[in-house]
Amino acid sequence: MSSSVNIQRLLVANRGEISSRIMRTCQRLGIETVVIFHAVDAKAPFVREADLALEIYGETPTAAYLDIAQIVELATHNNVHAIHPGYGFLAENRAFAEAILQAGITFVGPTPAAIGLLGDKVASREFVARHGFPLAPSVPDLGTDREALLLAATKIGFPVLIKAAAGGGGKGMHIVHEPQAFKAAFELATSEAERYFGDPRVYCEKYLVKPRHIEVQILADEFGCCIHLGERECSVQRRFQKVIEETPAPNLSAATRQRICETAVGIAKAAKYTSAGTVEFVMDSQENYYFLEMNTRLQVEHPVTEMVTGIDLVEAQINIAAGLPLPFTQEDICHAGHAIELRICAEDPDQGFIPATGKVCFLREPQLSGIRLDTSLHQGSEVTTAFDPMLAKLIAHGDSRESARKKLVTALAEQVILGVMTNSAFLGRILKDESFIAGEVHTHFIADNIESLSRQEGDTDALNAALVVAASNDSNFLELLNKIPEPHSTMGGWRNA
Amino acid sequence: MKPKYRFGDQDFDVSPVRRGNPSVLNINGSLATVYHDEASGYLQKLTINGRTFEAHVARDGDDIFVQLNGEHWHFQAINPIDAAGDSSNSGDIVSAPMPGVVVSLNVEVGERVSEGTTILTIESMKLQTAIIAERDGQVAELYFLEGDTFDKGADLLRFEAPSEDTPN
Repeated sequence: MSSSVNIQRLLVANRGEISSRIMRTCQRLGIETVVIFHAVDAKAPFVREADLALEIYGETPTAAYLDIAQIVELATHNNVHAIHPGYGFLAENRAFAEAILQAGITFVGPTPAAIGLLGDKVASREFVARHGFPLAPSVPDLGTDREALLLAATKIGFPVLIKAAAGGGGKGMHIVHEPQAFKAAFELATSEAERYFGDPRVYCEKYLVKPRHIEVQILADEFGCCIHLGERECSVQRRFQKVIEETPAPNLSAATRQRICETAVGIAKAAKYTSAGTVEFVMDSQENYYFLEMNTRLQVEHPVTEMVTGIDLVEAQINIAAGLPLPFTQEDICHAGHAIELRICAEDPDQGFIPATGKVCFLREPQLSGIRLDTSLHQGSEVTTAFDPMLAKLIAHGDSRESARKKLVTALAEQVILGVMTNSAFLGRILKDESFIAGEVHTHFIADNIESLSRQEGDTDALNAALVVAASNDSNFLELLNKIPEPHSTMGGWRNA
Repeated sequence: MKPKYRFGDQDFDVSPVRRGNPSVLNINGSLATVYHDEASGYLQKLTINGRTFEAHVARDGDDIFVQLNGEHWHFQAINPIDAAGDSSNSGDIVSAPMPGVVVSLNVEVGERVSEGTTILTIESMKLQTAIIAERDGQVAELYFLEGDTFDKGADLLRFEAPSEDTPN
């Protein structure tokens, strides 16, 4: 290919597990890896794993990872051929992609124009509607005019969802059940939108009852070849953020599966999209589906697709960015078995999922085969509020949904994280929930079942056992214990703390 | 002094009664017989009431973390000396439900607010939460400025009943 470029050195403009994951592919392909890191991440595994790690500076750690000029400057000075943005941070920032291209560096992602078109949630909805694809009832962009938005929301009928125009990832989203609650929700939404996306505009859409979140993975090259790698079911959410994702979607008719995947390809083709991308849909209980948004980047949950298709999405992104054609057609794509991903987060599900902080003082990873663990955790990791609370992704692949589910139950039991509260016990209860086992999921699944999914109080044996274990780690208790005369010549059990 | 461990807002006295295997412990006045099946490093296996539990444990200062049959337990070892002075009345203090940063302050010290008014907005890990007045009253003290960060449980503000007298 005359237009193809040779990528020998790639910089990952991100942090944590996704930096590690991108570098794994680079190392396999013989590409030198460069990472950026803020001082708070100096001890993180991704820094050690890189061939070259460059420190970045900022008023806050997040500000450093969002500093376009600094990152492009570092990339230029270090002769980087390509930059992969990962997800979050600058992954869907048009100005970042433009700055990279202007510096003569390859951006591993879509064109700035595609980011501009699809990254803006309002513009992308207009685009999709114009091309005749299905869209949920909503109101157009009314900017920050609260009264006009309230009037329009009343017309489509409550409940409505207020969403940030420039948003994504569940940030700046609020359900409003009645007009009286509109003002407070509007103010929170615009304030969050301003903070996260630097753009206070919000819009409203009809909030469906028991909707499912189904998305389709797209791959498209510069030569007009655009294929899908199947759908992902991402309905198990809390605070509008996914916690369990799987593929294929359970209880989805073959006809709808084919149609939704073809719709996604149609949207990507209409936008002349290149690289990996994800088209997100909301689906009602009759399998009617509506376009939600397109994510112009690698998704957090991409591993489930990789595990059933055997395709390395990062490798595909790099090859597309290098100007190579896709090495496969739609007919070549095979889906084998079932994969489920759990997002292990530092949070307390029994306290409304409030983020938890702490220092990881003990870590044990699951050893089961058929399990993939994408993580940034290490013993001694400080979990702070500076970044997203996701600590790890546990992904299982099995011949069937049931076998993947069972592997995850085992893997969760094997995994130990001490020092920071996580949602792993909560995830374990979801995995054992009858509705979940039956594949009857929707985006209100967690909220509707919160009582049965919550930790059950009143197990005195478990409480006593936990207290015994805690006490045996406390010198105050052990001192008392050692004052008691020994009844037998030998004893087992107590640790010498 | 009896060793004491806090879980949530409950304290538990745990003292040894009989040493050996099984051991007997007095937990808040009830006796528990514990068979110690295994203990190596961070791992402990024990049997209580015929039920076997596998636990991992680690300690960081006064915080003791236990993962027992998949469930997290976070205890705090209560130092008997500290516990004596712990009688603060937090009735009118609004404390932080999570660590984070103050995004906006909507009221000033001394300002009267009615029930439902947003006093301040905090943010933690990209989630904003409005701290709302649960009744009519006035803000007696604010402990943070916009942009300040705070830890979980930190006092955010002190709230008091509306004063009826005219200020001088």
